[in-house]
Amino acid sequence: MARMKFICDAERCIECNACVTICKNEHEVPWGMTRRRVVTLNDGRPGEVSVSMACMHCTDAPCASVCPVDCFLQTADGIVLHSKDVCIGCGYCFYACPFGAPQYPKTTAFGARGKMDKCTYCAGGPEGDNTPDSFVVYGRNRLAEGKLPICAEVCSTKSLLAGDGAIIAEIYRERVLRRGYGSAAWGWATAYQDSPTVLSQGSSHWPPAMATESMRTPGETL
Amino acid sequence: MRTPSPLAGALRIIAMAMGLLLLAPLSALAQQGDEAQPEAFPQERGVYLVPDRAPSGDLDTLFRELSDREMPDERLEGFTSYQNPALGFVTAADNRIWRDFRTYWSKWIHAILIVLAVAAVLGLYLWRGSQGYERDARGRRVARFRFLDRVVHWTTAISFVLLALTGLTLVFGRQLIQSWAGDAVFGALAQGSLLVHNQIGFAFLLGILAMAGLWVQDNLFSRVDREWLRQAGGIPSGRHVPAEKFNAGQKLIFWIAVLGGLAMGVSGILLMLPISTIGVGWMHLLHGGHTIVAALLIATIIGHAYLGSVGVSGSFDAMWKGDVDREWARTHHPLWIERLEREGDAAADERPRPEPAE
Repeated sequence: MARMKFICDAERCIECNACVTICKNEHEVPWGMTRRRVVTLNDGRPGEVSVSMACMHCTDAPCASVCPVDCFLQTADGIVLHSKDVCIGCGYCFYACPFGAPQYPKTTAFGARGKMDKCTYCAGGPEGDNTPDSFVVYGRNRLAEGKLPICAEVCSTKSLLAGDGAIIAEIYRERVLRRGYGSAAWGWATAYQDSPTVLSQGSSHWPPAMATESMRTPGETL
Repeated sequence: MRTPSPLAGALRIIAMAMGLLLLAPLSALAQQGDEAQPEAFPQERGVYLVPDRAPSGDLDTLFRELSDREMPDERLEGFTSYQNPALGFVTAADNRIWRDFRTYWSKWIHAILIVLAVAAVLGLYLWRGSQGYERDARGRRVARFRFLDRVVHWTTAISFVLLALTGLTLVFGRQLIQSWAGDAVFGALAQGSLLVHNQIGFAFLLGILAMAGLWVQDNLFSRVDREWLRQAGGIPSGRHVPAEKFNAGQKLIFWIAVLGGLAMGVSGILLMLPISTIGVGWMHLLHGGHTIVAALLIATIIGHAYLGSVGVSGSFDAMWKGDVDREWARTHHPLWIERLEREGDAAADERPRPEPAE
């Protein structure tokens, strides 16, 4: 099975925010938050680059390891999903995420902020179905319809790529070789530490996480 | 169509000439700027396929080169048009430190401190047993805590126990409860814990503030306390060391509870307003502080609960009924009872209390 990944070619991103907007529209994301955002580094200065950031669907996902209710699941495609039935909205995943991906959908009094929301890689909820109920909670399941994430599909400069990690890495490599330079593949090393294409620094981290801190796999119930 | 008059034409030419004169220094500046930049893409912008650092072209080497720029584990700050300016970063690999704290250190700190406190209490019980006292021959009792004192104490105590249990559910629940209770049961429990934890915190903070106001006078350290501390409360020698209304140990508990409780309250309220007032880095620190102080408080209160009930017999009445046996007071807090006798306050409560016929 393919290992689904995102890569954002910062040399091509023009900060049009189409990925942000189409995502919000496609999944009818709650008010006050977006699942994706565009961050500009060196804004207005030489060397300005923009990067489109969302959940990178990490291999060793920090959100899953810090979750007090173990609500995360990694699909066979490597997509990290969380169950909003189990989530209690504590916000720990946001503190741990290196990309600021999980968001509070609400900001109401007394810390009642609702269940966390984050990018689903257009794969719906952990149940993997594509029902109207699941659409309300998690958004559309485009993968079940044989489509890739909409953010990458609408990217006008094909800066944001989604799909099989090996294929998009090859596309990116070809681009870098052709033009002779490339920005860092932002987030790539942090998210896919054990990926064969990336330096695996940090995999032998100390102290080791407790054994039960890993994510659930599709075989396990959620 | 109007034909331009010769005057207008002349004016236009003059204006253009002046414009050119004005622009000339600007364009010179612009040229200077261009000269200052040696190349179109500054080195730090990316990985170059220049001969001395060209990646070999294979995928592994290329991504390793590219990743090196990201690997220093630093937060890459930028600008985002997204509503939440706190999200103006690309990667924050240093969040890893908090992850380790949450998944590893917080659990061990809590486990070790709680086990140590329980072991200390058990050890003290096996070593010294329950501290008894001679009952007053006439059954005289002396008032120790007013009704308000007791209400404040038990408000704080009950809210503390609830906060501790709900907090520990979030720290250990995934390992200790969810594994056998299942997602549905534990999900509800955890959701309830979070809700209760966030609401009860206010009662606890109120209790701590009231406690500080009510008892601070009697909890200021004095000369007597130095001797009490030097003899470790007389526990090793088995002799009673003179103490005022509160002995030095109780005063220590008071200050730990008040200062720790305030720290918990302030950090807790800030944690309930995520990143609206402070950044994520502060959230990490606050969460760490909240967790560590919580462990210290739980350990302290385990000791306090033991000494206030089984450890020193007769002391539970003080906080439950409000009065204590006169001889209990003379045994444990002689300076306090002497002061009361001097002031004549105790005389009011000297009437014998009817004993139930047993």
